Amino acid sequence: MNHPTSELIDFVDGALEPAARERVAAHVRSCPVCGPEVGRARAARDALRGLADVDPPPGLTESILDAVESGSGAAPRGRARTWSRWAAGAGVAAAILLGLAIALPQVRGSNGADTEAAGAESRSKDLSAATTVEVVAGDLGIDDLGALATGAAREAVDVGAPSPAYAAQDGVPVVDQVRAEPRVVDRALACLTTAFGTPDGTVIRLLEGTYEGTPAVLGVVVSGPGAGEPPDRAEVLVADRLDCSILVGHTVQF
Amino acid sequence: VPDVAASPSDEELVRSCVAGDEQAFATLVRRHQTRIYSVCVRILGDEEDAADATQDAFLTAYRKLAQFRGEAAFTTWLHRVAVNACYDILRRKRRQPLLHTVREDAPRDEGPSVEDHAEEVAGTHDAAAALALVPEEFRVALVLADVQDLPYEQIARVLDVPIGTVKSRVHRGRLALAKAMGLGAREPAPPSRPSEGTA
Repeated sequence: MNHPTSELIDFVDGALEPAARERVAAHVRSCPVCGPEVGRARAARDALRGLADVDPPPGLTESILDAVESGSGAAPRGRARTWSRWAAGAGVAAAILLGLAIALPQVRGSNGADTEAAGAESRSKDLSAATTVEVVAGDLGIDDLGALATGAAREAVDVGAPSPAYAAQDGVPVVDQVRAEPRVVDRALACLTTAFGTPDGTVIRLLEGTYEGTPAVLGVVVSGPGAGEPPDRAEVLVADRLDCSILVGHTVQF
Repeated sequence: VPDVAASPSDEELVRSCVAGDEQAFATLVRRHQTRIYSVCVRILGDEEDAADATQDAFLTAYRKLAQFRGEAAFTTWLHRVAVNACYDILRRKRRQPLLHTVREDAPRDEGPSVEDHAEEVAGTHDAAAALALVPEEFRVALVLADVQDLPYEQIARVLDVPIGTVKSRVHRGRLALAKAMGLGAREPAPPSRPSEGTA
């Protein structure tokens, strides 16, 4: 028996032309597979149609508008979903609205559209995956992560002259040594993946050093929203180099 | 809430906002937040996460308003941004159990498996709870189609997939939801929704 599988949804929705509807209806009446399937699909659809809109919590509008006004980007609304927050030099009058938040690991799932997006816009640059590990001199802190993230943003998008927001983030950590051995690169990537999962987007830099005294591996990841949009996010992921657990993650929207 | 006839259209508000009128953006937020929040609640199944996703969506929309070219309706574009915000949160939540897995050597209590959980929920008539058991890809299409009642063409633009893919996801999502709710087959009745929502 040939089942009109592709027509069943239109049949359930009543969207078939009369002749097709009669043909599918005749099949559904006699088919022990399609008959129950249509019944289940219709019951599920009816159950969902009974769901009403849900009113947003009080204060959501103000929370959104406050965040827009302060330029604080995707900072969360006060729930303990972040570890800390880095104020992004709020109020900087930049042509690009820059929001910076420290968040839980926000690496994205693999999505080929991001890669397409990287080359889709004329202002986007081609981004290359990191093939070296940069060993950083000195101990890193929160400001260094901000500098790395905004540097990545500048790398990802040709913004012309550096905006005041970027200029404020100068002071990128000093690189002491560059290691290109594949095992060193692989080990750094594996550690980040263990901590944060597979990064989505392009890992454009890998670094090693100490973060607030803890031996650390850092990855700088640039990604976009997909769907042909240009890159709009740089993340700095910091993992403990010894046990590959998460130390911190920073996200910049640009 | 329907706007009165004299209210500016979404597209007019977008133009005003791009020109620097922040009140125009506030009007867009107030006009669309209930619908966007509802989409996020149904996709994410958690009101706190939905509020975060709604805020993320409007902030992203604000940042990218200048890129909105008006080729699609503003509501289509906004739904797309909101769905992406939901996917971000779903990805983030997916990673959390993995982190515990790799960091803890002790025997884990991973909670009920998906199958166990489905067993618990099976038979419930709570469609909202059962939605959480529908695979994400199908759930998103299902929410847009059957909760928000968007036409399939619009959903195709929101998700950037062919309309046939949308229909397939909706149909499979309905079957998954019926299973999660323990809904058996009913006697097929004549179609009750003539020519609505499809092309």
